[in-house]
Amino acid sequence: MVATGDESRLSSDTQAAALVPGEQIGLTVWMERVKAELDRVQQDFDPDAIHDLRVALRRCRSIADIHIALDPLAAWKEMKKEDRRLFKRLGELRDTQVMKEWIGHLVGDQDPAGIRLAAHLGEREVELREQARKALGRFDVKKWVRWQSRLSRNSAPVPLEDPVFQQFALERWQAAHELHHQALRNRSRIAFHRLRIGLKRFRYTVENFLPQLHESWGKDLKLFQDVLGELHDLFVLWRTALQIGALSDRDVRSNWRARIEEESQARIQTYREKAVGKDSIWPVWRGGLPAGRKLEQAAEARIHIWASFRDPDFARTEDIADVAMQLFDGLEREGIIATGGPTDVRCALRAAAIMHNVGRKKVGKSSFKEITRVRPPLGFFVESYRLAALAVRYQRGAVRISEGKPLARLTEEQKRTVQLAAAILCLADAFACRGEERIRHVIVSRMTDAIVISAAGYREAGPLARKLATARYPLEVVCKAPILIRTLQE
Amino acid sequence: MRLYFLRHGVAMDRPDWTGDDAERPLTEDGRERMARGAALLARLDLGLDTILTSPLVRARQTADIVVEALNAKDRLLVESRLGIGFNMDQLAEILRDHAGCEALMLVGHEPGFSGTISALIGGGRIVCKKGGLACVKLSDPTSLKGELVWLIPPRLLAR
Repeated sequence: MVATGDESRLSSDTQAAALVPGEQIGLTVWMERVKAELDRVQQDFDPDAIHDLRVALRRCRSIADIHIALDPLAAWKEMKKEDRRLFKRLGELRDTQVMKEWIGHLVGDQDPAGIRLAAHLGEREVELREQARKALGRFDVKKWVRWQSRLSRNSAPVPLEDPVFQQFALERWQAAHELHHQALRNRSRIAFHRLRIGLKRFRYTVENFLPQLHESWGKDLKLFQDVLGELHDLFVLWRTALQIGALSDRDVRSNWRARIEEESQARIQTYREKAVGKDSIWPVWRGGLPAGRKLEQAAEARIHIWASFRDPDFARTEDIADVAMQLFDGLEREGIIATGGPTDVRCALRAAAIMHNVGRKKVGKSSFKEITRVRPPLGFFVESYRLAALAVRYQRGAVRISEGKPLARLTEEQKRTVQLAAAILCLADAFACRGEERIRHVIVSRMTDAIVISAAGYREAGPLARKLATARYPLEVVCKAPILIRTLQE
Repeated sequence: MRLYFLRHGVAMDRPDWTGDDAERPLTEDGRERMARGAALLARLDLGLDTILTSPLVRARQTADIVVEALNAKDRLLVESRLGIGFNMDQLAEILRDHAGCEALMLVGHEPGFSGTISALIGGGRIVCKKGGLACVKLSDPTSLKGELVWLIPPRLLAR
C-alpha cells in the first residue's frame, strides 16, 4: 500500500509560490498553473516538478469540492474526474520517492533491510513513472482549457471571504475537530490518518477561499499537515517493509520498530503541543469562524446561492420571497397569526420561498426531492429546513395538506407551520406574476371580519384579480378569515 | 483494538492429500462458502486496517477470497507467525508490529486460534470451526486482555 502524498514532505524544498492575496488565488490561476506544470513534468520527472504539479491539481480539486456543493454544473465533477487518475499516479510516484528519503533518515545507507527496501522502491518507482507517463499522455488539455473558461465564470458570483465560504470552513473545522478527538482517544495510526485528511480539507477551504484567515492560520495548518503526513509515511514505510519481507530478522525488525516508533511519537508530540491543552489552536480557529446569528446568516446565504444555481428564474423567486416575507410580517404584526412557539416559522418560510422553484420542472414534488437530497447547512436548523421543504412540496395544494403522508410524523404546530408557509408562498407567487401587473409591495391590515391586503399597483378589475381569487384561498383557510385584496393608496 | 480471528475455509482432508500439508488447498465447496462469507463481511464494514494471513495455502486462499470481496488487496500481509503453532507469544509480537491499527484480521488455524482466544478472554472453551469468525476487543493491546464480542459459526457466515 502506498500513501497518497502531501504538499510538503521530509526533504522537499519546493513549495507552492508564496501567495499574493488576490493575485494567485483563484481557479483560473491554478488551472493555468496545471498546464504549465504539465509541460515541466513531461520534460523531466523530477520530484519537485511532480510535487508542484500535484499541488496545482490539488488546488483545483479542492476548489471544485466546494463549488460542487453549490453548483450542479456537471463540468465541476468532470474536471475532477479527468485529473483523478493523473493525480493518483503522481501521488504514488511521489510517495515512493519520499519513502526512499525516509530510509536514509531512519537507518542510514548500510542497513540491510533498508537496502532491500530501497531496491524494492527503486523498482516500484520505475513502474510508477511509466504509469504516470501514460496518465500524463491521456490528460485532455483541450477539455481542461474549456473547463477553465466555464468554471471560472461559474465560480465568480461568490467572492473570496464571503460568509458562505466561512460556513463551509466551519463545517470542515467541525468534522476535523471530531477526528482530532477520535485520534486522541484511539491513538491509532488510522485515526491520525483520518485526522490528517480532515485537516487537509479544512486547510484547503481556508487557503482557497479565506485568504485573510489563511495569513494567520496557514503556518499552523501546514505544520499539522506536515507532521501528520510524516506519521502516515512512517506507517506506510513500516507496512511496506513487512510486505516485502525485508524485516524477517527479529533483531532488524526490532530495531526498525523502535526507530519508527521514536519518530512517530516525536510527531505525535509535536501535534499535541499545539493541539491539546489550554493553548490549543483549535479554539482559536473556531473563534475566527462565524457563530450565533452570523452563522445562521451564512447558512441562509449558502441556501440562497445553492438555490440560485438551480432556479430557472431566480430574479422572480427573489421577488416572491420578498412579497412572502412582507405578507408574513404583516400577518404577524396584526396578530392574525400566532408565532412564538418552538418552531421558527419565519426562517422556514424564507427558506421555502428561496428554494420553491429549484429543479427543472416547476412542480412542488420535484423541488421537494431536490431540496431533501442535500443536508441542511451547519447553522440552519434541521427542523426549519424540513418544514421549508414540505412547504415547497405543498405550495400548489396547500389546502389538502393534512392528507399528505410526509406530514404524518409532524406535530400539529409543525403541520400548521407548513400549511401557513405553503399558503403564503402560493399567494406571493400569484402576486409576483410576470408582466406589468407584478406586485412587489404589500401591506396587511385587519378589519373586523376580514384581512385586507393592499398591493401597490394592483388593479381590482385586472387579470391578476382572477388569479388572486384562487391563490388567496389556502391562506383564508389557515387564517380562518376572508382576504380582501385592494389597491394600495399611495 | 479489535481483533478478528478467521479460521481458514474447508480444505481437502489430510488423508486425501499426498503433498506437503502446507500446500493443502481449499475444496471447491470451501471456496464457495468462503466467498459467501466474504460477501457478508463486506456488508459488515468491519473497518479493517490490515489483514494478516498464515502462509499456508488454505489460509492464503481464504485471505485472498476475503480481500477480493473487501477490495482490500493493499491491506493484506503474509505473516509467518500465524502458521501452525500460533500462540499468545506470537500474537504479542504481531500486536507490537501492528500497534497502530484499530482493526486487525488474522487468518489462521486451529488449535492455535481457539487456544489464543480463550487465553485472551480469561479462559473457557472456544470452538472455532473452519470458515468461522471471532471478534475480540482489546482495551489495551499490550495487556493481552480482551473480551469476546461475537463468534459467528460458518453456517451463519456462509448463508
